[in-house]
Amino acid sequence: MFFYQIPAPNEALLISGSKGEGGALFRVVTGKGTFVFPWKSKARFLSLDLRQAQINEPCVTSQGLTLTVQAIAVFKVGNDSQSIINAATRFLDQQDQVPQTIGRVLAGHLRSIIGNMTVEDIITNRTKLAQQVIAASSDEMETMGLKLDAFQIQEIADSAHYIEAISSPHVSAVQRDARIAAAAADQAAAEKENEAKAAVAGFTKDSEVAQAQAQAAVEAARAETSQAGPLAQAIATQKVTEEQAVLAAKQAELREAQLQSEVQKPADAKAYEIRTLAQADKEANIARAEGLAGQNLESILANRMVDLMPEITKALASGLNGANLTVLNGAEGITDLFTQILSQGKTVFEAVRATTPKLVDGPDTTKQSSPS
Amino acid sequence: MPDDFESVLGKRGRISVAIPAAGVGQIIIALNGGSEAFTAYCLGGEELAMNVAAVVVEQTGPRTVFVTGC
Repeated sequence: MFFYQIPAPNEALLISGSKGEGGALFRVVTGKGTFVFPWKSKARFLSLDLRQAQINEPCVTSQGLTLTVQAIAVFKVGNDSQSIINAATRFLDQQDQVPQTIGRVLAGHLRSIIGNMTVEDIITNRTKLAQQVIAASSDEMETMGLKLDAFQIQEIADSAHYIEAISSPHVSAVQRDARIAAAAADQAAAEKENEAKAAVAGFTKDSEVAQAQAQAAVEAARAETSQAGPLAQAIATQKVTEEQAVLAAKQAELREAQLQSEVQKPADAKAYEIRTLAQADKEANIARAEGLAGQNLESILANRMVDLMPEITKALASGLNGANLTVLNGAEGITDLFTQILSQGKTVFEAVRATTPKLVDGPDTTKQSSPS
Repeated sequence: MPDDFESVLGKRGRISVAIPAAGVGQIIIALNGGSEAFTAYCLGGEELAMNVAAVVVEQTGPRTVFVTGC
């Protein structure tokens, strides 16, 4: 008011009608107010706001791949007076068209930038992209008094699916690792499950074995208990049998002793008697045989006695005949007679010896026959 | 130069886009109470990596400077 003009913080006040400092065509005022007198000056405002341009451009990379790149450029008029003067002289009255124009310019830059890079660089090499953007655009932008604040690639359309192909090995590797990990996890889980099943089976087995053992013990005890009566009976029977056996043995001993005393001993005695008698006989026979061994005297004597008996009897009878024997004592008298006859045996014998002088010549024979 | 604007000469800034030996990058400089990005070339074929400090030694255009590492 009252010719005093104040630019907004995002505006530059351009006053024409007088030269500016440093040979500028007009005065540039920012941040403060100044008097503008209409009769000698003209004041205009230039927005220093941020402007943006959208770029959608098919580009060819250094590998010859065609990509459709969508980018956004953010720029503004530079804050220094030179940039403001450059910009003001170019598009002060065409400020609405600036983004479109700059977009076209930057699209061309983008084509050259992409042409110097590979797809991998575009995706990963941010520094190279920024350097390329600055190198390609900064001179032109500066001439237009503009400053590129940001230039970003938003989207790359890849009709040849090159980016997809770049990613596929990694995707495959990741999928492979994921499947391996899943399989390993499955395997581990299965192992653990089987271990757990085995452990459960083992516990079940142990438990059942223990139960069976306990059951067996119970059954054994029950059987033992149920058999206790018969067993005791059997034991008692066995003892009775044993005692009976002992008794039988005793009886057998007794019987044996009886037999010993009744049969054996007499038999032994008999045997002894027989043996003794036999011994005696044997000795007697031996002696007899010994006696006969020299000359069979006695036998001969006996035979001679038999032979001579009629003569002996005749001699006896003649003796009696001469004695006029009368038997007075009856039977006794006859016995006496025989006694007398026999008492005369000695005499008879002497008589026999006398008639057989050859036999009594040997001195040994006489000696041996006299004791018998 | 009008008094309204600070000179960038001698100002220190941070390299926001690496400057290759024979290439162009970008430096961000605190200026006029804000910060602005300038197209930056290296003096004498130097290389500057991203995020290192640099000093403006020459201004060839309103948005173009030569820097050197420090």
